[in-house]
Amino acid sequence: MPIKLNLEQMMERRGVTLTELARRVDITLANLSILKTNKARAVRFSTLEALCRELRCQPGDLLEFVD
Amino acid sequence: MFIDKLKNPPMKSFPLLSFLRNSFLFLEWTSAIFAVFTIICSLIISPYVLSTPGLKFYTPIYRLQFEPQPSLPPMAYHGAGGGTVALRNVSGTLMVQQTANSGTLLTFVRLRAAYDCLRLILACAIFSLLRQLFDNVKLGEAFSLKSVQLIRRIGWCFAGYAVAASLFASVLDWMIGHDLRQHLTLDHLRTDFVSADAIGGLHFVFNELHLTLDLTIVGVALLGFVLAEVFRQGVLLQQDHDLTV
Repeated sequence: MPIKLNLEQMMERRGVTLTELARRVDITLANLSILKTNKARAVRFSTLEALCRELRCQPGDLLEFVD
Repeated sequence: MFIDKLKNPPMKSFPLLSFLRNSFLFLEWTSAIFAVFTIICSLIISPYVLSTPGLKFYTPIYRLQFEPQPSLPPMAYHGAGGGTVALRNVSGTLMVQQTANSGTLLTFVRLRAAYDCLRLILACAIFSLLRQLFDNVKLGEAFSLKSVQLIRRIGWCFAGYAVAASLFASVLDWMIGHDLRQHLTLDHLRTDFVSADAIGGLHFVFNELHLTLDLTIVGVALLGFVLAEVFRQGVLLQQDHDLTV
């Protein structure tokens, strides 16, 4: 998938664990793991909004296009 | 709250699903038991029944076409086993009454039993597949590869039944016609004998063998394959949905 989600890097920068982030964003640990390992096929705006809010970043910081 | 339940019904609690699943289980077992019973009857019981003195056995023969005649007198011939076959013309339908046990009759009965057994076994297989399909739906896995496989197998069962039924019917036709033609000449008869098992559909003729493929069953088989393809698309959509966070 050419679109990559830099969730792991952002989590390290903010010092947040996967479990804590899943609780704050209100999605399951399994789904967050899917996002982290770039296996997701689509991301809802509501999920992206919650991630940006909790990680205090812009969507562009999380999403990257890899050719 | 009622509207929410309607939009997102809890699949596991649908009573109709449980009822359908249990119905198919019941039909599956019933078909299997009847198949075993048919085998027992044809192999063990039928020789004794057929040797009963004075037994009358009717074989309806439909779709016989005659030249326009006011009426046909009843004809009789003496069968190979020493019995009598009487043909009576009843509104274009001839009923063959066989009053004696002949080797052909026993073979015919056994072939007919094998035909009925095959139908019951196929019915058992189809009900089993449907039961498994509804088990999947109850688990909330309606759109899964297993469901696609089950629906495809149901389609193949119907396709196999259409071909097998046609072959069996044609063999039974040939048997009846061959046996009767050896002993009988019917005047004013336009077409050959065709038994009651031959139903409307695609008709093929190979020498003396008449094959009739029931288009309804072929249609159901094709519907099964089409439905399998629809479910396969559903699986792809389900995967996309599952991987949408």
